[in-house]
Amino acid sequence: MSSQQSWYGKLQNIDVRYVYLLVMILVAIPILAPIGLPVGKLSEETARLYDYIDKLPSGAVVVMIADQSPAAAAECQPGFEAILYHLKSKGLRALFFAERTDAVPFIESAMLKIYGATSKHPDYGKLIANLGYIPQGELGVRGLASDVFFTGRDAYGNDLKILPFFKDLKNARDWSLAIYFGASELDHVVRQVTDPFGCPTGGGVAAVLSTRIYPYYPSKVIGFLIGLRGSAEYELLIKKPGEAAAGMDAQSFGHALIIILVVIGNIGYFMERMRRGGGS
Amino acid sequence: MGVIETISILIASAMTISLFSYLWKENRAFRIAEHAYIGAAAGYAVLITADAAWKLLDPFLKRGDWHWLITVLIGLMFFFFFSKAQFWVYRYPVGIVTGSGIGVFLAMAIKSQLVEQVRLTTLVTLTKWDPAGKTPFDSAIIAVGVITALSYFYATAEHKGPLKYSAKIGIYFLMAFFGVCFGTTIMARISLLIGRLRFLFFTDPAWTLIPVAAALLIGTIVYEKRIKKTK
Repeated sequence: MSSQQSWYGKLQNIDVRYVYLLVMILVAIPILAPIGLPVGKLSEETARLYDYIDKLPSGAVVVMIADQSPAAAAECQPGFEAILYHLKSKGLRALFFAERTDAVPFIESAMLKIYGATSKHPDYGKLIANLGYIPQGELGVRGLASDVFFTGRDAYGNDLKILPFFKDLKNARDWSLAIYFGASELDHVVRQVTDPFGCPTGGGVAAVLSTRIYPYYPSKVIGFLIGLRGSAEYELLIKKPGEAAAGMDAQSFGHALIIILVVIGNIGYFMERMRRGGGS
Repeated sequence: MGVIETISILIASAMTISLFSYLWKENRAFRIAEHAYIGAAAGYAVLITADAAWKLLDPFLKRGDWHWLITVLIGLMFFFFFSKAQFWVYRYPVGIVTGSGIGVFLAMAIKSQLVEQVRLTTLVTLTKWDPAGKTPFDSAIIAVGVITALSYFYATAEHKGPLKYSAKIGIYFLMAFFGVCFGTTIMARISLLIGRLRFLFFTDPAWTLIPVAAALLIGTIVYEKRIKKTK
């Protein structure tokens, strides 16, 4: 094939495994030897979520909806932990539940990291409560929003009616914020919590989901963390740099490489077209 | 660190490396890790779901509200999926679950995703309502983007005259949207890689398997090349 003789033709037919290897190496280098590239200008979406939480009065209820699969956890979990840390430092109440079975361990992992314990923590049942997995996605969210005692017991078998956390709660009208963490869709939280009960929605979502949230922002979704970058920004806002901030160098390197590859790919494509005389 | 935790980390490390090995080519280590992951995830999901279902049901039964056992019967009807002769029974729980899901969804979807979207888009574009510090220029872009992108999907009339140009501009807005989606997808995938690499590099003793895997990979490549040469 004549196209394989030209350098751009060769580039277009390069074994994709070299690209994987290059990405792997370029992402690994800044992880092993951090450079400390600046995160950049604080995004408006992160700042609005932080400001909203920061202004909540002590004791306000924030519902943390865990829908992060192991695949989305790399992006969502640092944000989940950063927000939980913020809630703890402000004396806000955090109510957790998981929308998917594989998100259950991420709630416990965040509680262990921020509070050092789960159900044995002295604040458990007062400032934090974990309902565990609630099945049926949107139906489950609606059930809980309509009646906070919907599940009857928490993840550890405690009767919700005897926990002080729930003493002044009836439904989602008593919540100050519902934050969705995951990569699936946040629309159902707006549908079943924000619109019928007036509780605003927040998000700590995988970057790929961000484009679907903008139609609700900022009237329904008051702010959200976009992927690892949003989590890193939140970590910096609470002055507790963690996993996300540490990963930003690698993220920047990875993006730079992809941009270069896209440019090279396009140059190759257009040169090949020109060589063929402008035809497709 | 206890023995069980050490073994867990080594298994997680081996699984991660095995799954990454697919980037080189399909191989046995990848298949073992893939099947083990699917099996473990399915088993875990069944356990957690059963526990959640029992948790929801238990308070009603303790109060003596036995009629809630009907929900268990409806749930058990799902198992008729495996019966060729009584497959029709399976359709009832599917109908109940789908129907209740659609009912809850539709009731709010019309308000949240149609009426409210139209109302807020109109407010942003046609009035001075300014929820996110948007400038008139931003509002104008939103207005043009919404109208032209919608016109691209307008199939009742032939795309001629003004509609042709409107649809063409709409395509550019759609392409910009797809570009952003592509960029954020890349961001998500790289974040995933960062998460796994940080686990492999900084979790003791996960990193010990990296040189082992590298040696195995190089050995296999060299071995395969020799076999090829001898052939």
